[in-house]
Amino acid sequence: MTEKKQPGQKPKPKRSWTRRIFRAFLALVALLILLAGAGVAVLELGWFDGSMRNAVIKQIEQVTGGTVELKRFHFAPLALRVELTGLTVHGREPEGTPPLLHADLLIVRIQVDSFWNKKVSLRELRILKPEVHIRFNADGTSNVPPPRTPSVPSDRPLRVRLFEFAIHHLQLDDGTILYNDVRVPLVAEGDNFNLSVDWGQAHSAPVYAGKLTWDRFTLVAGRNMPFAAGVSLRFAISADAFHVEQLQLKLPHSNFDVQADIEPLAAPALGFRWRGMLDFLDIKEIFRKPTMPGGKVDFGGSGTFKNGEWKATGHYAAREINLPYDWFHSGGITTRGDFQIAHNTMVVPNFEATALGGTMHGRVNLDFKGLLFRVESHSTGMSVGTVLNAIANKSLPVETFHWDGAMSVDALSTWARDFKHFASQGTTDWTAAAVLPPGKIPATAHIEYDYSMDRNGVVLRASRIETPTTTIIFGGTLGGDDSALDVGLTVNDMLPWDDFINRLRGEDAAPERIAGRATWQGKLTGPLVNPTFAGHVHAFDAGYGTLYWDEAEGDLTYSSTGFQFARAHARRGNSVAQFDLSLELEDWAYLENAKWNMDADVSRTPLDGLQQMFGLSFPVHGLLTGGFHGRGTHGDPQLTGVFEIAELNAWGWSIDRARGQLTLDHREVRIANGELRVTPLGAAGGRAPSLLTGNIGFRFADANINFDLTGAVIPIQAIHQIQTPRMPLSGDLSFQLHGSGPLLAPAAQGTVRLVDLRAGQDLFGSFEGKLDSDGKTARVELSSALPADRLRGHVELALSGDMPIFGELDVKDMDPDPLIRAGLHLEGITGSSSMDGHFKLTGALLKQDSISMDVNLTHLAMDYAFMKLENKDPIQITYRKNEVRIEHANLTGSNTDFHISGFARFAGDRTLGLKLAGAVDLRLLAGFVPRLKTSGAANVNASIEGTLAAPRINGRLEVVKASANYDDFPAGLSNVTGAFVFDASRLTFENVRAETGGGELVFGGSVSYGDGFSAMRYDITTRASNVRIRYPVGMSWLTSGSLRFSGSTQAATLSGSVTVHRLLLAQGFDLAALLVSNSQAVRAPTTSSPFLRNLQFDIQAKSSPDARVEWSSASFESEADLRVRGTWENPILLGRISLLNGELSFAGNRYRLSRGDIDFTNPFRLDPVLNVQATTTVQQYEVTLDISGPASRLAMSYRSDPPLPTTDIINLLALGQATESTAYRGSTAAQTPQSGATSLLSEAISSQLGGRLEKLFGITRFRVDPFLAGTTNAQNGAARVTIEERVGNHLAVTYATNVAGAQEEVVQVEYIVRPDISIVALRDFNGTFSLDVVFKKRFK
Amino acid sequence: MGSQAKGQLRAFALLPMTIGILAMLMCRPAAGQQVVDRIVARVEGDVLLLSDLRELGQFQKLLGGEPETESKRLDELIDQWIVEREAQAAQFTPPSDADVTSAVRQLEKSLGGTQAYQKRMGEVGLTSTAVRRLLGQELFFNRYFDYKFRPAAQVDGDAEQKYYDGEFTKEMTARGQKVPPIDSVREQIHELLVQQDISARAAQWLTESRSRLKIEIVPEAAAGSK
Repeated sequence: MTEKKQPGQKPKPKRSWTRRIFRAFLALVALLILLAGAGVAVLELGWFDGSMRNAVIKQIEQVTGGTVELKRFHFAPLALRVELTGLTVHGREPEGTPPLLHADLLIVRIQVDSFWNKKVSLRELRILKPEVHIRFNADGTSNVPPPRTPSVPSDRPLRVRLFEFAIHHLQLDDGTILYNDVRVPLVAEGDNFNLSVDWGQAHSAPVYAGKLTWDRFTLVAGRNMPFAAGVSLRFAISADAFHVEQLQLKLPHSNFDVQADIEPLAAPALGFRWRGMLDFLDIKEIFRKPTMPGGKVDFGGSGTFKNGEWKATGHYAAREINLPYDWFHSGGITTRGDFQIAHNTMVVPNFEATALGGTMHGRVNLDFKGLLFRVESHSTGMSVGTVLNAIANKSLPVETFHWDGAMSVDALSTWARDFKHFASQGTTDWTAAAVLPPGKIPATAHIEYDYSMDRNGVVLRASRIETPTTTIIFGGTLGGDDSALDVGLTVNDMLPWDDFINRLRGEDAAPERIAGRATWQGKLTGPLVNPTFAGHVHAFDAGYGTLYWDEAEGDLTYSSTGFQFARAHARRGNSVAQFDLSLELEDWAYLENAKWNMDADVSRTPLDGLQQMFGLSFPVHGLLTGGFHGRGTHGDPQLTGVFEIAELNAWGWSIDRARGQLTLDHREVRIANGELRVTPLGAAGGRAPSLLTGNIGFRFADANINFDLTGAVIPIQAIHQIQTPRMPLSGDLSFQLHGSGPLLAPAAQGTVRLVDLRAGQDLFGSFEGKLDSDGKTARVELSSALPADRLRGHVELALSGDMPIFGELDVKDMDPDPLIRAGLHLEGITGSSSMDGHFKLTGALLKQDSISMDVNLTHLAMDYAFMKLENKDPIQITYRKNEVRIEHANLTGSNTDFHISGFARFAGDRTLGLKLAGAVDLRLLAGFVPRLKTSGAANVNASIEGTLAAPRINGRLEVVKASANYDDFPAGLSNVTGAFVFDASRLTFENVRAETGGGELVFGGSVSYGDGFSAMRYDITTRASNVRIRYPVGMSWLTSGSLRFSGSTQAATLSGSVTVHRLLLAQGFDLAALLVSNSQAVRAPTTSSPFLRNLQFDIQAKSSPDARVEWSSASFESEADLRVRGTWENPILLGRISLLNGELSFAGNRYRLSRGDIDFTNPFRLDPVLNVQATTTVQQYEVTLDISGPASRLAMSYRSDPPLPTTDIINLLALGQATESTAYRGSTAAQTPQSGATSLLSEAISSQLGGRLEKLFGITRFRVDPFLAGTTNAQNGAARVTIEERVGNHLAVTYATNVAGAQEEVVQVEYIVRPDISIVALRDFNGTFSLDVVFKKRFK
Repeated sequence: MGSQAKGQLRAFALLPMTIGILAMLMCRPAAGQQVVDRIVARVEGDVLLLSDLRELGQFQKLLGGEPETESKRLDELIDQWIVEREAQAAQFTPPSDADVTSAVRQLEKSLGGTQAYQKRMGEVGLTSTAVRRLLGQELFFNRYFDYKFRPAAQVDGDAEQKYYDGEFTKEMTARGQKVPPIDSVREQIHELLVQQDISARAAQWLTESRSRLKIEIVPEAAAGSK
């Protein structure tokens, strides 16, 4: 095919004009045909395939420059077809790598267009399974060898030559291409590559129409991710044009469809149309752009490229745009617009976007030269809350502001290429939203910003954000590398900020309530992702969880690396603490190994406020002064300090002062040189009687303690843990202890001393103990100190397991009265008792039921109810499980010899089982029945069962010549005889008789005690004959009759009917006293007995015919008819006493009674109405005295014969003469009331002071008058010494002097003539002598 | 009566005198056997000496009185022993030298000055050291009583009012003086009532403590010094 191809032309036939020549020709032709046929046959049979194969290989090697392998070559001349099987071309690739080119089968069919013109064309070129491997190395070399025969450059373009060599059909089936350009790097690899090109004509012009499909190939470019793609191309190539009828490119998630026309090829002009869908995910994955937003964009348009200039128009619509950036994250963004491209510029004039709840309109310009973007936008209706959610992040969780509102933004943004050099400046305004979602806070703002990616920051100018409770004014720069933002924050309520602050504390931190008001003026500096807040904070009414401060102020610096609160002070009430605090943070977190430092000083700061500051509520109050220094790490804090607490009150203990050196870390807490000065409750202020000093440390790891403590005079009554209502203990405790070891089992040694140990009001004495513990066993040696040797023993306690305890105690001559009195409440114990015995204690402390005590009293002697009791035999008592069992006891005494045995339980049902038999002295009863005094002998045989609350007594008590008196009751019983029979719940009287007041009583009835002695009921009847009753005080009634005493201990009634034979008024009863007494009505005696107070009277009393009323100076015949009602202390008499005749003495005069009535009419109180008239004669006058009216308002009138003025009558009666001038003998008139009172009280106080010393030193009186504070003045401010000596019983000499002045001396001599008369000679301070006769008279 | 009879009568009169004188001479202690000191009582093993007894009597004499009887002084010494033992057990701080010196000066003034005081000491046979010690003891004991019993002495407003209405008003009226309002004297009344309570408690405590002590009076003490 070397002839020139003339498309469209046919070879012209040649004409022969001679047959010969024709025949020869034919022959020749035939020969040729034969030759040709032979040749063809030879060729068809493959006789020359070998040589032709070699030629072909050589030719291919010449063309390609490579080494060619060809498995088989076959030429079919009839079909003009050449088959190359197993063609392989090796280039310069290394050994063992795929060859440059390989094809399983290559078929070439040739079409002879003109033998004569030697014109042929390629009818078919078909390649099966071609494999092409091209590799470019980094140095630019490749495996493609240069041709061995350099091609001759053609003067015709390829498009011309392409059509000169007509290829009717070109087909590549199932091809594989591997292109590996290490320089780019670029790798394209895939199979199923198909290409078919057919030759044809269009518009009478040859044209190639082709189709290329490569359904799946993998493309790797640069460092981008390999991705699978598919391409499909249909095209047509003519001599002048190239038409891309359809180019489809499929990426994993995107697809593109392009049509293009390029014509004429000589001067190409491109016209194209496109449409497609780009999923940003392909960009993100292929180009390894993890920050690439998500989203999809549909686009379409058309354009041209002509004369070196692009022009295009089109539109786009993006959807599902999702921005994932840490500092801006939002989804659901859409944008759309039309674009125009011309002059190297793209314009989107109608850019629209919906985002953040609002819309954005604007214009986008893109300058392709440099890919510079410029966007002018105006956004409206965006939600502040949505924006905050979009920009919130871990470092700055602004969504917890809960702000909301409508946001508008005017912005101008520019950037280059893919958001390089991004910059945006504009203004945003927030306005309150019409409707706020629940929980949102309205926020308004005006913010001017200027952001530059190149500066990596935003400049904020004159910006302000306001909420109902917060105002933030800020300006400056916020930068990724550095910030300098001035912030003024005023928060009137911190609660809305709680979520933000709690989030800053860490998502794992338990939320705390933060309240109060605060201002902060400071700066935000440093990189925005790691800012530093520094400024002055001032908070009021600040609360943090349970902590609260009235005020807190200081310089606060807060960053991801640290927290400092410098020059700070916090105040709560009067409590003020000044401190500097710094914490080391790591990424805002306070980690275990983070360091901290604190210096704090407090001065007389109330602990109440400090506790409230730190959320503590111990019952500890006082004033703290001290300095504390903290350091270490979060996990290993260390605190040291020196403290002093004044006016401390802790757990009810008044502690005047507590001080010491505190050391605290995670290993140990220690107080060194500690000192407590304790004043017990109720003590007068200013005293510090108790001291606790020493050192104490506690190690947390092994719970070991070491201590060295000394306590002095600690009041036992203040130790509530050992107090019981039945046995209140008091006294002083002193101790000295030192030791170390486990907290519950330390090795310790020390001494303990109990001084003046009391049970109730009874003094036990003083005791000493010596403690020795080896950590396994604690042993206490006990002994009595004062008196000595009364008690001696030891107690051992194992410090493990159930803490077994064992103790033995020997007492000798020990007084058990306090135990008996306080423990058993037997008030009849008097005087001193003694006890010898042995106590043995066993059991386990932690198993209280196992504790038992065995007591063996070899000797017991006690004064009980004014008698002495003593044991005959040793008394054995055991105590186990709240049960006291008396094995055996035989007590003897005066008229007493009884046995007692049994048990009493003090828990559970509190049952009793006691037996009492023998002779007893009734004085013992006084111990059981307070206020009852009994005497006499009795025989008792009784058993006591039941419970402590409701005992059942069975038995008898027989008495002979006994006596009984009850408290203030005016009549006592004597010669009581008879039997008292106890019948489980009732006491009856069997022939019980008694004498009282000179008469006789016969008793009947019963006393029920089944519900306990406290609920006893009486129903006792008595018959009395000639019984004298002294009631009220000073009056004695001789009566007979019957009385009934019924009721209970709470309320009883004495009723009956009696006859009064005589009323005697006691010696000393003076009518004058009655008549001149104050307005008080006649009063009955008072009593302290609850029983008597509740006793009601209902007694009818009548006088006998010869009844008389008598007293020492008077005697009257009388008639009386009275009814006694009321109570013991307020008896009410109703009725009348008529005084018939008689005489009386009054004020030294003897009067004759003219008439007299005493009417008792007041039913509410004893206030008789008197109407008495009496006469007497003094000198020559007969004086008549009328006394009338109620006793509380008696009126007295006088008249005389001959008549005298009332004053003269009084003088006459009082002094025996009608006129008398009396001078008031006042004393110390010049004294002021205050000085007199001060003198009086000071003397009294001095008397007390001196009286005590008098007991010790025998000086009759020695005193130093300190003159109490507040009463001292210049005149008597100095101390005074007074010495008084009593010479005998009747003479006392007193010497007093002021120690500040020797001249102020007083000498007093007092001679006591009678108890009511004395003569006093006095030489006073002024040297004046006086003589006084002192007459003392007391009126009741 | 003749001279012989007078002589016989004189002889009869001289005989008992002579016997008496001889008896006195025989019973008189030998020279140099003067009693210097001896035990007069034992309290819980501790001894009280005759010299203590004498010294207390001298102290009483110094303060202007006559010494009390020996048995009374012995009682006082026993009480002193109780208070001193307890105060020491409680580690109660003794009075300072300054306090004792002040007390001595007051005593000097009360006795008419230093010279008179020295003279008086010489007369009663006391040394200044002993007086200082005794005065120090007084202060010590008095303060200890206050320390020991003041915390328990509770006085409320009712008690103050009761004293004011009762004893105080009565006494002021008896003196013919106007009774001042209670608020002006409340502080003194309060202190007085506290002191009364302290005195009562101290007396009760001494009585109780004493009843529990082993006290042994040496019989010869009754024949001790005057």
